[in-house]
Amino acid sequence: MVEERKVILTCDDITFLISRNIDGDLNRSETVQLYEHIATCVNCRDQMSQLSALESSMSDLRTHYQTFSPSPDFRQSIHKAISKKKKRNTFYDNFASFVQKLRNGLLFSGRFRPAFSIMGTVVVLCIGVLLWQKGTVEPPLSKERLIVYDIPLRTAEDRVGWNQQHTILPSQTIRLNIRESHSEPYFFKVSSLNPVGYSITHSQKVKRPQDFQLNGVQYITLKNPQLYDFVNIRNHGTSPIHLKTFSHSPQAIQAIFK
Amino acid sequence: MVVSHTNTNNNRPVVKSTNDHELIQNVLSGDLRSFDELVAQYQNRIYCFILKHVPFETAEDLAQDTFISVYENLAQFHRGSKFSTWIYGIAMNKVRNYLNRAPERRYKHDSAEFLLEKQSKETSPLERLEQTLQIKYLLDQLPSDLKETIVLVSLEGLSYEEVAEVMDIPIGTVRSKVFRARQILKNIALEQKP
Repeated sequence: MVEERKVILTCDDITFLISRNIDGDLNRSETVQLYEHIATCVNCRDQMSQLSALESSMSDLRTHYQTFSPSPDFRQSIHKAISKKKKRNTFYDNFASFVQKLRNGLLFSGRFRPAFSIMGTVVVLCIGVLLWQKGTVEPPLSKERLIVYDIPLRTAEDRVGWNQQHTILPSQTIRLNIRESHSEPYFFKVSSLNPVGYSITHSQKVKRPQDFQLNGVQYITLKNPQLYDFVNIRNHGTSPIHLKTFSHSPQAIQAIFK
Repeated sequence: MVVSHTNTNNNRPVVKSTNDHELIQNVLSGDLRSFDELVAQYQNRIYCFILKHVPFETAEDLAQDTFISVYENLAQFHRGSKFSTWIYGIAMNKVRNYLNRAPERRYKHDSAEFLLEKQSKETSPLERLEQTLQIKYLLDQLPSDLKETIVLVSLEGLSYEEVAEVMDIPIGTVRSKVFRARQILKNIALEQKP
């Protein structure tokens, strides 16, 4: 409620009071002022009757809406939805509780403390050694992003603005380090005048080099290239392989021969 | 909870939330039946409230979403607050999200046939029905914030304090929004009068 005050009110103020009066929001003093004004002002009286008529229509609409109700299986559907969500959340809850325990140090207390300390140290050391050996931190790659496909020789002379050209000699390996991420794929084109075997190792499948037979031209597409991705191409044949690379900038790929 | 249509000076329904908190406590302890009871008590109010903002075919989905959100966030409900106000707030957010996702939805209204079909079961005279449809049409012409406020005050029967809590705005703003809404409604109605 607005605190009581004795001021002379204009018709605009009174219209505001009429609205508040409909909702029972006036204090005693304001009510008195309203009705004193109404008694003498025809315009405000009209306003009051118009707003009252409007409120009466609103009341009819309210009654009208009270005839509506949701379908009979409304509650059952909610029940089902909640049960479904609960099941789904159980796994995440357990995981969250484990993480919470971890954060609170509950798992590292009591008589198991020394064992956990040793395990932790070993894990940290292993990670350190792995990083030191690799020299780079590789992001986990979820989908297969490296695709190799043959191109008929006739259509191989394309209009791609190749950034770099290299020749991979027999038994030589070239490592292509991705130095800039990009939403568009990077392309590599390998070609040889004679049939030659080669293998590709890329950061997504470090331990599983894929062998290919080159007999003309092949394209390699690296989708969604990311910083620290790399592609190793090893020539197993007796003829040189010509390599061209396309990236959004020449610096995006760093080529190193091994 | 006891729902009584006690007549106040405004002739509005008053909802007494006597054991809402008890039910909430039971739900938080894992009793799903208590939640069912809560839903049973509020389903019509919330469904009808949502129906005033969105088309018939969407209202039930949004009402269900509202109750699911209530269940998921019940632990965040403060005991000092009124449960009905809190649940109106959630329903209001559902409506806003739905309307905001595609602005043209604001201008998609239930057909008069749908409203007529429901009304024809009642015994009200045709003139009254026309008036009801007319006022529904007028409400849909209001800017969304004014419509939200006047619906909560005039159709849901909430006090200014409760509306301020639901909409998270000062009570003075509620007063002026209701006033502006009524002025606009009155003016449009007068313009349309032959």
